[in-house]
Amino acid sequence: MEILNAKRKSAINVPTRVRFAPYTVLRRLILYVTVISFSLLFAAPLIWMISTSLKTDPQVYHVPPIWIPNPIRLANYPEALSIRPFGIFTLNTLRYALTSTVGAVMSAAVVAYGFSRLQWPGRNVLFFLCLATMMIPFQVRMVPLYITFKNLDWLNSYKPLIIPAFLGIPYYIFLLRQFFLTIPQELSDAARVDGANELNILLRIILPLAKPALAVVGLLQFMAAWDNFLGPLIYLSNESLFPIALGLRQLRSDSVEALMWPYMMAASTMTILPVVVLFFFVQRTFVEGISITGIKG
Amino acid sequence: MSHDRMTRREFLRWSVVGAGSIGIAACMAAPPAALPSAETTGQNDEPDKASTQLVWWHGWGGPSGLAAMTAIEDAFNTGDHSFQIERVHVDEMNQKILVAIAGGTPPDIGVCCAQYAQLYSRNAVVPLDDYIDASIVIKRDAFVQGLFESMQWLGKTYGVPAIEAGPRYGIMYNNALIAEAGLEAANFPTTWDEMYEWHVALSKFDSAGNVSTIGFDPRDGTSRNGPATNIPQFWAINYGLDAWDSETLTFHYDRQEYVEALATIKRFYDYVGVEQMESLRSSTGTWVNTPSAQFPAGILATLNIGYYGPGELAINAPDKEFGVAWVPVPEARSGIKMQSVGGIPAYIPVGSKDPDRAFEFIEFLTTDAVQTPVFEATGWLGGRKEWYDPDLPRYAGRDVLRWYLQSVNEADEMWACPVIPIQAFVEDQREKTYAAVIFGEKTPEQAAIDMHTACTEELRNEFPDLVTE
Repeated sequence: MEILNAKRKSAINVPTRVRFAPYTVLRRLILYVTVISFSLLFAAPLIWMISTSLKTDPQVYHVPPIWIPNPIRLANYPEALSIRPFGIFTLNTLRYALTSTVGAVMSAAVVAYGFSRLQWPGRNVLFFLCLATMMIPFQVRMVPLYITFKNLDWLNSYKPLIIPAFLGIPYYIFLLRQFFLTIPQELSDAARVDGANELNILLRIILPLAKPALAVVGLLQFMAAWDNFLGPLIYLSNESLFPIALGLRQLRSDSVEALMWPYMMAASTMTILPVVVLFFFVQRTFVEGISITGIKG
Repeated sequence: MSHDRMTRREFLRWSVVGAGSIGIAACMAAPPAALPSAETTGQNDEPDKASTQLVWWHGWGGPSGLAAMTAIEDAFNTGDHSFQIERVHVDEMNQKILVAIAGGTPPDIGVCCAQYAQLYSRNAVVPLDDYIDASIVIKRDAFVQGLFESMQWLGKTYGVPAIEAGPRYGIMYNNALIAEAGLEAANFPTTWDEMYEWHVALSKFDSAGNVSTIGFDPRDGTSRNGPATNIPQFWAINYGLDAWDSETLTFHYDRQEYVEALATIKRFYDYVGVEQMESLRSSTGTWVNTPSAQFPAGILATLNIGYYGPGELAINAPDKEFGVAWVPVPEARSGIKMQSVGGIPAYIPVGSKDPDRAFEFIEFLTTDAVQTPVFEATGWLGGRKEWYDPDLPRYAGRDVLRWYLQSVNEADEMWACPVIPIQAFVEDQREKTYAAVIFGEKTPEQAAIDMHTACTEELRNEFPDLVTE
């Protein structure tokens, strides 16, 4: 109580007007102007997308560019949806994006645990071998993978887009391994003393501590799957299975008429909503994860 | 109370079960198609026909392109045929079809948007000569001159002109800008020297020396394209140079005609200033399919463009009036009217499960039952000569388009599109060559020799058995 009273007293003594030195004000002003400028710079594509989605076609090509459309054309949204079935495309994308995200997080966590917390012969060699596979671009593996999936009778299904994620993605393995290495070994030792096996340690000690890193991996994989164009292009040949990336591309013409920017932007705005919503839900964890996994560089 | 709460262990356990379930569900076979196009085909009405289904991949997206392709699918599937067609719109056709052919799962029929020459020269598609010779629907002489030649490799025919074809050249001009410069369309230039004079008269600069109107851009529209299987390289053939010899399989870029063509391109750029022209092009755009591009926007006065120009300008520059004239030629070829009708082939990839029926569908693609709805949706002409009669009722009131149709009948030279097995490389070299010349990095002579050497070397690397020089 005494401490509380002391705080109250000191609060009473604080002057009602806070005076800032001119230097401090100037510094803050520069800071805010810089931050706001960069924010606008980075937000510009998003704002432009939303703005264009509400324009008429002549407004799109107006010089100088129009940022706030007048009149606002909301009909672009239902019309864009009527040109191609973006609802189905969105559901299709969610279907494999969510599942592959679960698979990528689970498999990367298990493999990274083996590479970081367990001592076994050849561990580092295999880890570097794992990392080396990151150097082979998808275009090089495209045909062999296609033939493999064809022999497995997986073509024209989401299996080629989902199942490989359950087998571990090197980049995520690397990220989680680096994070797991920062967790004190004493925690694992204490659990072992209490009789926990390695699976228990992973599930009950490591993973709860690694939530920010897991969130980063999950979000990165979700976004990668959401944006994936080449994989679905090659593996899917039935339009009812097409994801958003292929659906949006269908709005692009091949010399028939101009690209219908308002429809394209309306469809894009609607289709990025799940990603934006997801980011808002996990942004604190995501930012925390970015800083502790060292992605920020 | 405590046992009502889920423990962390239970949560993790159920998470794993849930994830596994989602994974299994996601990997299961997809539900039946729920796309509008599938609903309108009436496939369920005739299950016996649906038992044989060929897969047709096509390019061409956008509302008009998709409407045309859906109309074709519907027309075929509701017609009297022994099989059904499943239409699939494929973007990045080249990438997808090469992988599919390599993997042994190609479509039964393909149309549009692949590197055809690569498919022909690598035996990735089926030769069609026997089918064409036996066909009562497809007769070679019923198609515009040059079209079948652009679908042949080493004496074999690998494609049939279908859906999109048409004349590629004609100088469209902005009537208002011509009149403003005191020029008369009736005296439109017939040689490049005359065209240069118009270029000077039409190009305008503001008081600061910045260009506001350009007379002619030698790298806009179809002047820029080729050499490809659906359009020749304009600046080579305009100077009378067949830069690819399909008999000897050699390039002729080191010839004087090509040097002169490059010098002409540079001359137009030099008057305005290469930086000015390039910056205006990149800020406004080229071609005719956007209102802001330099020709529809009224910044460029004349443009070499194909038969689709009038239709696209009616949409993108409805407030302007345009005319059309023959493309100029060099003084040495004065009086020659040159034209080329390029087209898109329908082809059967190697591995098609039923080439006989696939060809039956290709025959269907060349008929009026297809071309009429395609023309109504997109304005495309197709390859049959009978469509090039400007007096047909469907062309009434379309004077500029009628000029293009008549040009096919009046041209002195009708150039076929070349089939070059390293087409993509040559097109890339063309761009580099034009840029090197207009920016003054190379003389036209040096640029021509370098392009010839680069293309010959590349051909030697990719097809060592073909190169003899």
